[in-house]
Amino acid sequence: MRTHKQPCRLDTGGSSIQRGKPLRFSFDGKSYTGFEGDTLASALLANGKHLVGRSFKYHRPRGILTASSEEPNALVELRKGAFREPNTRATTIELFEGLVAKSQNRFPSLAFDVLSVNQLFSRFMGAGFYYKTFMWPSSFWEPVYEKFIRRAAGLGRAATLPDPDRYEHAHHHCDVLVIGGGAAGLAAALSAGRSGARVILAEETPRLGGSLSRTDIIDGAPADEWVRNTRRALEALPETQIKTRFCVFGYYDNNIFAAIERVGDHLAATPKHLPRQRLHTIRARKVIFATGALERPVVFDNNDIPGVMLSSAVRCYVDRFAVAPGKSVAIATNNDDAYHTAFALLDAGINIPVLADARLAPSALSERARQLGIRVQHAMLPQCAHGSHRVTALSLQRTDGAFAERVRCDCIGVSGGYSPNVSLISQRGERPRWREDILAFVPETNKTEDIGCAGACHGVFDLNACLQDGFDMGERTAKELGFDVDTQTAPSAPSQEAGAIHPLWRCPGNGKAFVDFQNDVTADDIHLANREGYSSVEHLKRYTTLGMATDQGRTSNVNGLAILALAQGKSIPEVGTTRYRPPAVPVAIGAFAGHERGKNFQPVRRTAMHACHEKFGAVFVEAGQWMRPRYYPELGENMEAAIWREAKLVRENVGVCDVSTLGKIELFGEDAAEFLNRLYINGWSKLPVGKARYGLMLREDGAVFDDGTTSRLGNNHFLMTTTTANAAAVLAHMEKYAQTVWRDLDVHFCSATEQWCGVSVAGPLARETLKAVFKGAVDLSNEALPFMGVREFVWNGTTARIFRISFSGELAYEVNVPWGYGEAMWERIMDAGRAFNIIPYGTEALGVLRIEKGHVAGSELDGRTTATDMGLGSMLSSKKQFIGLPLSRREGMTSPKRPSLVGVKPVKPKQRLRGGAHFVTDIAKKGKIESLGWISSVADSPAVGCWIGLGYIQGGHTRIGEKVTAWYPMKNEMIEVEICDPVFVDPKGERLHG
Amino acid sequence: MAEQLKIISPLMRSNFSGTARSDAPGVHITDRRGLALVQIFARPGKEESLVRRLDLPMQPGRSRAHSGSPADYLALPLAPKQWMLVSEGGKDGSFSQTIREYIGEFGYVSEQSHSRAVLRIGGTHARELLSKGCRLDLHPRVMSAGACASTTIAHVGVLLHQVDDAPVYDLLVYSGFAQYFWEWLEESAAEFGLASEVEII
Repeated sequence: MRTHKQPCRLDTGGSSIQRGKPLRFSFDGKSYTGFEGDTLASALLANGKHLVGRSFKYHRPRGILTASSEEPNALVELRKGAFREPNTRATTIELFEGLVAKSQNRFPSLAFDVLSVNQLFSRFMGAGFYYKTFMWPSSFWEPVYEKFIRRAAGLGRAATLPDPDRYEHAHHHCDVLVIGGGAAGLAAALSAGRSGARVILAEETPRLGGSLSRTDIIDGAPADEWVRNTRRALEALPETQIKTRFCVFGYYDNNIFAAIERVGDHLAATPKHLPRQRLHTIRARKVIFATGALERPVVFDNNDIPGVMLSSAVRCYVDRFAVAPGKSVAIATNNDDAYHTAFALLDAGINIPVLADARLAPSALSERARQLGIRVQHAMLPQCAHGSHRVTALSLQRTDGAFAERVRCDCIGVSGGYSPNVSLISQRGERPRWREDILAFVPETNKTEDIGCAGACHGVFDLNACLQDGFDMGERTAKELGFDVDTQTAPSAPSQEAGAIHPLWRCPGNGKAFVDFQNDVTADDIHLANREGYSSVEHLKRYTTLGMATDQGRTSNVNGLAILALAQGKSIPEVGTTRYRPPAVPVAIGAFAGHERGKNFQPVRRTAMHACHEKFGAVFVEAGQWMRPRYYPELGENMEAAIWREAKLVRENVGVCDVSTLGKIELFGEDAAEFLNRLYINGWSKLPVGKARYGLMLREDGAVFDDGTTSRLGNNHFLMTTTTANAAAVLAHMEKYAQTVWRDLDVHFCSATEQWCGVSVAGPLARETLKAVFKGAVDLSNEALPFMGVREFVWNGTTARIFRISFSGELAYEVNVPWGYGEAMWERIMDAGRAFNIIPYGTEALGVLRIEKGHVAGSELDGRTTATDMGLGSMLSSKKQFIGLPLSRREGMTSPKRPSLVGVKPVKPKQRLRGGAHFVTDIAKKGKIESLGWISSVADSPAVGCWIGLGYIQGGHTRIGEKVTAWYPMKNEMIEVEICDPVFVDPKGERLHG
Repeated sequence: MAEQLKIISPLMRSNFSGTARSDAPGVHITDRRGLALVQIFARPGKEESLVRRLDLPMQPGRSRAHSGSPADYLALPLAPKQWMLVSEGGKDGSFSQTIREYIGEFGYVSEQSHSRAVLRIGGTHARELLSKGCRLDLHPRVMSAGACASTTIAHVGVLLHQVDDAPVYDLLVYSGFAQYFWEWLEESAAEFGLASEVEII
């Protein structure tokens, strides 16, 4: 394999990389080599690439600031084509062979970017620039300004193709969730796990150990060895799970957590049998946060030039990846931690021109650094970084702002102190508490007992203290849950004397000093916002966009708050923090969707005869979750023609339609009839066994809820049918009343929707067809089975039910058999019906037939209409109470002005009706449009020979014969229509009873 | 002479049998065709009599296997005064008829044999597979053999019964959703390796 030289790779060291496994990758079209174990960031640095992107607003050159997931700068487009993912943090991308990445927000190239002219105008582009500039004229908002802003503001390009990756979900329960696999988290997992508790240790990165460095010693051994041993010990515990590449990003009520697992992101391609990512839900009895702390950058002029890095990141790249971030690394700090970076650099033979320490007095570590020959300068602050695409020098100043010296360097390691990583724990709404001694916010945990913190995430920074803290917390948590804990000693490390921290929020200067790198918010922007009255921290955040980028301001929030506090002459806790919300890290939308996308968006429900419909070439339509045949086109037939043919032939011969999807609810009990009396507006006590009745039920507010036929199969046995759409809602409605209101009734019910499948056989030849099917198993004569008659019988060894009910207005039967016999029934009916030219018909033709007959359906039961509106007022029983009765008598529900059901047809027979069109008054007379009602359903009727419709109009029946205008604003159509009786076909019901 | 009608099960028209194969399957899924299911309800005041008569479990979430008279069956509690009885045999309606006659005035019987597909899920990764959609805690400290629960997996209503401590589970899924549910299982089990078979009683 041809590999490229890695000019900035150190010859030795690098605990994370495997030098024997070189990997090739490309960045902006140029190929490079890194090692297995590298991140994209470490591999780019190994190749001397510091400039990796352009900033959001000013298009300033940007480099790599951190070595972890809070990275604000190094955002790249990863992969190609449909797999392309913008805004991926180079510091978290694990290198794989053939990785392809591109820089963002630059044109035409990273080194020469046209929009970087924004920098020249930057003095005019302060906080609120867009609000102030793109105000007038308002007609420009959408067509001009929005387009411009979107173009200028976008970071990265989303793939325009559908996401080709697969995602899934998973659920977990545990006694103790430990979030963070650093020293404190490992110690906590160990002591909690040993108690036998069910423990999940969640670590965001691929490796355990957190910020432990090469030189740390635990239990007398190098830290890496302790991590390996601890991992083995945890793996040996049967109830402890270690999850890596597993980032907990959301904390919800009752200790429910959401986490994203990167299953395939570190691979060149995710194997087919695996998802790319998994979204986990974790229900934890107790949780231990061990999320560590994040180093803060230092705010000084030009602090965003590539080569300016967090001191901890410098150390990490040197130690773990054997990368020299520079030949000459200057350090600026206000605390002890950066000294460890200096020691690591010294070990690696990298020159340190100066270590500028803002503190006035030396600490133990600074003395040690001096002894090692490092040039330590106290009371010295960074003033300004120099360079364009890479740092070339650093100017230093004294605390009074006087220039001190200019130091040549190609990298600056900065440390402004550590902020405990409180973003996750604070999602529960409790604001963190300021601790002046460490100049940081720590979580407030004493108010709730199901969460605990360990280590740096609540301000415990010393390694030995972290180990003890984690271990104790794990033990205590297990004990609180009732697990036995053997007394064991915590892992220990040599204690170190910690020096104090010195506040360093804004180093004096007049230039651009960035606070939020990702959203290009400077210290001056914060001052400007404050001057303009955005003094509340929440307003400041929204006006300046500080902390609103995808990194959620993890490196910028505390600096920003401190600068605002200084400007207002307040203390930092007085200014307060903004709210924290999930997700704490960016999560792909696909992961939230999981399996539920495309054809799996919701469960698909198929009837027993689904395969039969497919055989007949049915075009399906979704009815809720059900797949129903919409129509069965013949060769070369379009939808309209197929529907017309099906509706016509049912009235001429016979048709069969799958009605399995109707909700079926079986009721039992001595009080079942009484229960129905209370549910429906009409009476049920006198319904004889073997008869069906149409029923209408109301909601509590008096509007119509659902309708259907209910049959009495036995004295205490009923079968209710509901509309397809409302089946579940009706069952829930019944459960609510049976379980809570009418508990004294002897009534029991359950769904029978899928126990039985059903077909409707309709048309003048329906009886002849079914006679040929059942061959005497049931008497179908008008006398034995009159209209609304019901029979249960045995057909070829199986129970079958036949209901003489009709939606179409034709002679019709509904036949039910157990689910498994659906295909057999369908085939027998089609075979027997061949002699009668039987056809299958779909939901569209069913709709045409019921409109012709004036039967109401979903469009008429739209949740606003009353029984009287539908012309069914005579069904309202006056002899009983039922759900919805009291409120159905409200003034507005009984007003004679309410629109009620009528039929409608065009005056010119060729004209088409539109569902949703409004009946309107004569515009010429009144000068304005006034709606009298609307058309709810329309059909191209073969029986009538023109378009017909049902609708609601004020005055209802009294308008029959009147001509009004139907206006369809969607197409601005106005046609003249005639109001007529809603029953277009067989008003006397002769066909029905034939 | 009555001819036998062809009977199909909800998964017969899917790719269930034959397509899913693996050399070392971590999950076994069996389509248990031919079980008889009845849902029974106790009449007011007759609950104790019904429970005694049919040897029903009283503890919510715990099943009870009964053998002997009037038949062998497994009883799963569904709700207060409501159970599902599962029998190997009698899907033709004879099992529900037997129960109806046996309990007389103590309760009511709804024939449900065709309403659900029954999928048996076993193998080393059965629990892990279900955790991809099941929000219940299936850990042995919480659920053991005989546990049962009504829940939702992959947005489909499921009656779950833990058959043994291996663990093996029986999932009762509404027939209309069976094919969708199977497709979810197949996709979710891909990483473990999957073997499927049909059990006909």
